[in-house]
Amino acid sequence: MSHFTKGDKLSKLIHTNHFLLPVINRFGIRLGFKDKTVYDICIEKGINEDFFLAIVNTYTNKDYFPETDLMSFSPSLIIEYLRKTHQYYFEYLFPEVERRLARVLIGCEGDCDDLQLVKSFYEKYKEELSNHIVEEEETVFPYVLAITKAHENNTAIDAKYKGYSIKSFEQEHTHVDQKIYDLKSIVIKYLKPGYDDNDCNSFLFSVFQFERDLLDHARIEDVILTPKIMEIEKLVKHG
Amino acid sequence: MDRRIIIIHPSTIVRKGLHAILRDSFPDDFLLLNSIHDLQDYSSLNKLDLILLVNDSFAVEKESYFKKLKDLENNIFSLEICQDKSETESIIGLYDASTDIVKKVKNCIEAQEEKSNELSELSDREQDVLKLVALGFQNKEIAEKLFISIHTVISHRKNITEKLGIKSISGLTVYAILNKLIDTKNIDPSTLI
Repeated sequence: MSHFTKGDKLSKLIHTNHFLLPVINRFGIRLGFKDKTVYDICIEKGINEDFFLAIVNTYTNKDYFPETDLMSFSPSLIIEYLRKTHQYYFEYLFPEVERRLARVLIGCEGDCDDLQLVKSFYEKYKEELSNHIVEEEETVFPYVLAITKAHENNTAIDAKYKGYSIKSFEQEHTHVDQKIYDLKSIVIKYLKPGYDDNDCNSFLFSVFQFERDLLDHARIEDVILTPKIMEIEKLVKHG
Repeated sequence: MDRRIIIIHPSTIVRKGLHAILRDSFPDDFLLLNSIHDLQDYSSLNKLDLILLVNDSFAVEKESYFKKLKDLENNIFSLEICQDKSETESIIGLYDASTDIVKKVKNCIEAQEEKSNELSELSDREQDVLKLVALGFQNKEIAEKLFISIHTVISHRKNITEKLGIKSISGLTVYAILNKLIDTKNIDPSTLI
């Protein structure tokens, strides 16, 4: 699969993969961009073009791996982007999934035990994912910013980060991704009929979208953030 | 599951020839490799249905590669490529008619699909294990209760997960409650999840 380049029109990106809409929003790009190319819009909005392309390509093509010379942007940009995706989960995706699930529950005939179970499972999942996000925001991101700063200023990193490494944060993801897959499996394969089809589909669509965004989020950390920080870790001394 | 067709043969003519014959009947992505050892460069092959057409000169080495691919949660379907014409279903001969080659690959895929459909029901023993998993017991406790080894418990759990498409313990618990494998009259189901 080919990937997007700076000469591509932004409208082409969205026609190819409309899931990119919330992604470009995170860069402050809003609809109505006419025939502007990636290059035009990046200049206009002051966005690092390599970083923008790395993000939209990772999101669109799961095998995409940015080449080293396209990775010259600062890790602080990645953190800023990841924070915006977290914000998007809390402000939009979680509430949206919940609104849609609530609608299925309202329309449900009979005792709805099945759906109540799905709801409990979802709530448990949300709790775990939220904890994971908080952990990233409070531990991983400050570490990344600290080591980046130490690297850029050619100083030693604060002693409180002794023993930290970006690798040690990695495992958490698979666990969190797995549960949203289970949520889908349960609804798709094992829920008994008795609800409104359209409401239930709409709930599932939102779960699919959430999963997609989460997987992408994890991929950005795995293929962009982690390799960059591992390089920096080799160069920075601990104070 | 996504599918990849992988043709492994030292001859470019054979690789490209097989690709040309198969690509009209199979819309999948193809991967053409010179040697079985090239597989080690493809760590992105995971959770896929892999159809491997492998030259018989790699018969010895292929098993260890298949095992590695299976560990990456791929399903393996394999056909051998031999020098002559072949009457055998699972072997493609260099002098086979192109229609026969297409048919052999189709049969191989269908056979595997039937096998994976059979898998969907849980056996009685797997249900026993699932009940205990759902109630929150650890592998060691499950082994003791059912008088089986921990190794057997682990193997049952792996099969359960494959059949149901559910990995997490709380997901399995939801399945068990939905299917009335555990009695929730006296407990609040949400405390188990």
